[in-house]
Amino acid sequence: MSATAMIVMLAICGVVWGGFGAMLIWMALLERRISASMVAGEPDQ
Amino acid sequence: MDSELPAASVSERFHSRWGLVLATLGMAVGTGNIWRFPRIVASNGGGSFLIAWVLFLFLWSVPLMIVEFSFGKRARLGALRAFRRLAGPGAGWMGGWVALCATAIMFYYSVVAGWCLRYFAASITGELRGGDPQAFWSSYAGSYQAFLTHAVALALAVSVVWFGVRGIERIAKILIPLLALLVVILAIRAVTLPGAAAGLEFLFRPDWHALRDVNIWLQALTQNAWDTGAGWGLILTYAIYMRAREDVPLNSFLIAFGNNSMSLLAGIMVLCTVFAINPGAREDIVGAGNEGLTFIWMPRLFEQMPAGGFFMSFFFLALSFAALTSLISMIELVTRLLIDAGMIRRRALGVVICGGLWFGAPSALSLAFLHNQDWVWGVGLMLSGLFFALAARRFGVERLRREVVNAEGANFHVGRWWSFVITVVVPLEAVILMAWWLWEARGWDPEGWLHPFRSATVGTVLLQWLIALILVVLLNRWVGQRGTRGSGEATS
Repeated sequence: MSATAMIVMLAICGVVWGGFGAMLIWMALLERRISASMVAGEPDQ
Repeated sequence: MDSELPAASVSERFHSRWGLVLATLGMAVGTGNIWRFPRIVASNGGGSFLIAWVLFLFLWSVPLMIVEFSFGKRARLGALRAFRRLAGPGAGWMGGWVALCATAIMFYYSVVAGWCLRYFAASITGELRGGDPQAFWSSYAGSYQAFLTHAVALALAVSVVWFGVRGIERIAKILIPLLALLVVILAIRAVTLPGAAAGLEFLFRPDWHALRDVNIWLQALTQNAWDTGAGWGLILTYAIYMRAREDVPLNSFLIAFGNNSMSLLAGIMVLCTVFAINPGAREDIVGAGNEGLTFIWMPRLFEQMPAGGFFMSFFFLALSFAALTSLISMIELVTRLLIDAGMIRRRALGVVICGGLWFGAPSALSLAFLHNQDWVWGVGLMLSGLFFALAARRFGVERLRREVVNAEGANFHVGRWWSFVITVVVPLEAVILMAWWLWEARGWDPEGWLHPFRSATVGTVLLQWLIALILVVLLNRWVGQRGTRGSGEATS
């Protein structure tokens, strides 16, 4: 595999998969916090 | 505006954010990710195409997803009434167009979902092994068997939507992680085949000169318009059921990146398999079209792979999951429209299944008819994207950003770049895309490009769009005359 193809592969996969993974983790952390507030008696309106 | 209309009840909400995200991902990830993306990348410059494809994620898909989430969350109504409520009664016909376009796609998409189910069954029973996949496809597609599998796919999807948003949430929580797992397994298998590196090289090697080719940019934009689900009205439908304090911006980015992650995995899976098993036939495989690649070439390739029967079952199971979860969202869109019109959910689903069977039958029985519908409503989706942008302008793009996108619950705030993209860039892209595709179609049939009854002509698009536009204008007028009669959701 050529160096250029390798660099493009790492860049594209890094942006797309890395971005998705990072957002998933961010969302998971936030969701735990929101669930905690719902349990504490702040129902969704 | 329809300000008096009761919207979806508070009890009809996604139970968790995971439920919303997985259901919306299921909507976005469809057969197009698996059977169209690898072909389009392969025939449009590989790495160069991917650069344009990622760029348009920010210039088409994400901005439109934000609009859709905002409309659904704010209006809590299906496409037609949401447009009326947010952009004014005069804009209802645009919402009607969005809904009609997605409904027309639903009619033939259930046929496609049926194909996937049939091939999954055939891969399990061994019907595809040792035989000629071309002969199998020829005897199946367009036959009464395709109608039966269309009915099965429709029944499966309706049985999920029957239970409302909770049913959709439950099934998404099972099918989407399984789909992701299957695609990851298949991609890992493909890259570990001897010779697979040539597939990766082909997929990612950039041709910098190709970036000067306007067609590559237009293909990249088209792929975004067709495979992310942005501007289809489906995200709007699911957003009706999102919780009040839920975020819009992060969800939009998450769905867009999740969808493209799956596309990338599918591209790696398909191209590595092709290059490892039969590199000499790559031009034929890429040029075989969606059905040719999936239902004729993939069985041939799996046949030559160690433990190929096992991986072929995985492939068609993944395809079936992708198709079914997208079909479910389309059925929910139509059901929601009928609920908004005063029907209870179960009666609405009765109408949907009868309509789906009837209007899907021509596509099940004739590939030419299915291709015609795919062409007409595929281009129609670009008009849907334009209508979302125009409706956001009528509501006030800055107002939408301030009052809904960046409101309480937003995990981060979207800047003014989004307003600019929705106001200027998306409408421009939609007009250019539609003009380009219609111009391209002129070249496919130079003699009869205006013929209204041929499969892929400009004439057939214009005729069917005209009929659709008349219908949605009349429908919007009827909705206006019914005034503020209540939604049936409370009684469902």
